Amino acid sequence: MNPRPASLHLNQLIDQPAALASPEGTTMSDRLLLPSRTGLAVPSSLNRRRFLGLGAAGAAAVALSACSGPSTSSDDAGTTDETSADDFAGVSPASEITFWSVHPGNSREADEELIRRFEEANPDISVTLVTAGANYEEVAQRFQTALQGDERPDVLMLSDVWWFKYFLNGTITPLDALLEAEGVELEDYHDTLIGDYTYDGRQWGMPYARSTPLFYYNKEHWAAAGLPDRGPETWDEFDEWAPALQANLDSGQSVFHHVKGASYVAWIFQSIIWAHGGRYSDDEFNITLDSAEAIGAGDYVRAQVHDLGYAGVTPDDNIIDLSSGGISATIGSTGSLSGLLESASFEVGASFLPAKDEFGCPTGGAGLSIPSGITPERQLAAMRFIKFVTEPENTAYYSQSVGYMPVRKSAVSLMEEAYNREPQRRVALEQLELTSPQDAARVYIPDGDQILGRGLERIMLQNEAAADVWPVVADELATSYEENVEPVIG
Amino acid sequence: MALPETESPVSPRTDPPVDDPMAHSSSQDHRRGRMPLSRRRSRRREALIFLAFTIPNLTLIALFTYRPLLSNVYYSTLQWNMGSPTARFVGFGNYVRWFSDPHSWNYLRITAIFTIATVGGTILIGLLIATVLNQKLRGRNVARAVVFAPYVLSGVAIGLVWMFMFDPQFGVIAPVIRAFGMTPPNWYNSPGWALVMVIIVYIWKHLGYAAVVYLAGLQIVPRDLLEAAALDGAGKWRTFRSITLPLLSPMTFFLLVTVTLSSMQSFDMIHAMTRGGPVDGTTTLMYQIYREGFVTGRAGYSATVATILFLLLLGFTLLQMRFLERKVHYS
Repeated sequence: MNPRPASLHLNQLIDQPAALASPEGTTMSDRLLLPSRTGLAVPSSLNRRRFLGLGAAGAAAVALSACSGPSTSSDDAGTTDETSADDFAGVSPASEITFWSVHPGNSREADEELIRRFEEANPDISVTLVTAGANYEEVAQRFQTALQGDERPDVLMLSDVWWFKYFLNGTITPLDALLEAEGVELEDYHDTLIGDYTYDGRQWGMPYARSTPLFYYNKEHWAAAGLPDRGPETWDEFDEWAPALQANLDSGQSVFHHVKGASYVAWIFQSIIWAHGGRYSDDEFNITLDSAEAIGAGDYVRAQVHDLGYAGVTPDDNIIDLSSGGISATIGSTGSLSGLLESASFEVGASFLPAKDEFGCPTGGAGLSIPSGITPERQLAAMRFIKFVTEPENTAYYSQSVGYMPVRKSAVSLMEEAYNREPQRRVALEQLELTSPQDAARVYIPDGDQILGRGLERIMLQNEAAADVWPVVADELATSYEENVEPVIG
Repeated sequence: MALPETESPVSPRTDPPVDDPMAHSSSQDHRRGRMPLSRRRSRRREALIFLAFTIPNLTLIALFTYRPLLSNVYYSTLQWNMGSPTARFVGFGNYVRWFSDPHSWNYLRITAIFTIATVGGTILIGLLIATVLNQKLRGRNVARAVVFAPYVLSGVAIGLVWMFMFDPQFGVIAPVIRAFGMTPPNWYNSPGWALVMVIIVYIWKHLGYAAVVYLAGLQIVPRDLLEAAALDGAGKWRTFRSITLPLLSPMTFFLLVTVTLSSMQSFDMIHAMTRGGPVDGTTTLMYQIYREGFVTGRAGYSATVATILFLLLLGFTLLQMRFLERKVHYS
């Protein structure tokens, strides 16, 4: 038996995990048995209670002196920072700006090339490219965090579902005065794409990596099933085609893959709910998921997976599922097009989305915004950069190398060669004419996209009836609206 | 856990009377009066040394632990959107909302399952591995290093690699399960199996830590006791159960506390593997804190959940110390 008195106390163990984690060398008992009577003793004038008291008082003092949270003095959240200037006439652009991008669709090289071109044309302004996350959520979260400090970017990539949140918080600046100062011609931008970032009569972002969903299919699977070389015109037609495609697949493989919440299923499903004649909400933020059309659309995707059985939900990435030959078709963003054409060993078909009672297709993707609270000089340089990267030849370059749509009308003529070489690219542009602005519930209600996505996961993964799921989703959307949107714009 | 009552003559809970004048103020002055001057001087010196050593630490703890803790409690009374310069005071509104939201109970349930499974699994398998690695085997040191290695790796990296392995189409796990004639579960898309998946990976990462702690404990089990037991005709299992296990109780207790704390706060792996999904299936309280704060942007509500988690952890730790530490055998 170890002859020493016991003194292995929990506190010592917690304070000294390193001692425990070294089994070699010194023995456990040597390391853990702290001297209880010898060495440094706690002086008698400072007993434990008094000591704790001191600690607590110190902590409280520090907390009080350094507490820097939000101000609760006023109820009007969402006022724009005072630093937003209205007149940039006397302002000269800053010499350094930072661009936060997430390089959607593997577009890092394209971002770098555009920056190289910009710095060549504007030798006085240097641009630092920051990979501010792996997806739209991460850049938005990083910006959120940066707002607490002073590390704000000058040009910020915000997706369709994120910019409005920063409008509500007053942390992005309206671009109108800047657009005027830089002489940007808004008429040449595609109307839907520019309209997606207009609110309250002002412009809050400029389209950059903009997309629509496309129906992608494996032409080899199509040919093997004896199907015509086109996408299905309607979901009914696809339901009819599916058994022929399924016959050539291994058991356990699906003809079609939906995506999950993290991959913006609510964006893609929006086209399906529209095709059924329903909507997530009207423009006044009234949630309309209780309509027969909305329930019908939800039940349709549920039936695709669980009754008709030809569709599944991608475990991870539906584009990889398609390019690896695991499935025959899926719906994905135009931003996946270049990667898909490159990685697939077969010919990839791209077509309009299937219709049902009507045709529906949203736009999506990301635009570029400028934070409030940075100097007018930096804002002006940021706008110069945004103007430059969306100029016809640059947006055409970006579109060709990634797959996103050219955001300028006059860029189309520059892309004829690419369109002839890869006609799939033209589909997105033609479909753009038929797109509608997204439902407020998804893009304007903070977290709306993820709330809807979780509901769709329940429908598709858990086989729950839309009539049971939608009311829960509608409640969550309404709560978020009441908390976040109504106090600001209501 | 059935641990024997302590036989130690010196129980850790019954501290010997401390030489502490503040505790007996009536006799304090009386005693101090008799204290020789040299002894008082040396006491003052000791006090100064004590302060010199503790104040830097205390300052840091106050700045980086207590201050954020208090700020967090304050934020939990606000309706505040992350990033917004203004907020509204709502008192206990956020707490009322958390307790009346059915999602909260689901997250609590998931947290409980995750914690119990990971703590139990880590400790049991860690003990098993430690017992094996305590034998005189060839390549024992290499095996020890291999077992401990996952613990020092980043949770995100581990999560990503295991996701490849669990991948139903391309992963290495599905064919293994099929080889046994079973259908591999839908790890990615079934909320229940996704939780199992995360639990498996968490245990794998942490069992090396438990094994090392137990290994250290096994090395101080006195050989004479084991020999005496063998002489008395005790079998291996009996010796393990009646001698080794009780002697390991300080390690078990330590692991219960630390693994519970880290398990209830685990985030990186869940974020890398499932992002709390599918259908909230792996959303623990910790993940809810992240999601409310950084995805939804409800910073005030997020702080509320954080405060609730803090109180839960505090409660658990106190309970463990109150009821379990008594049963711990300190050599």
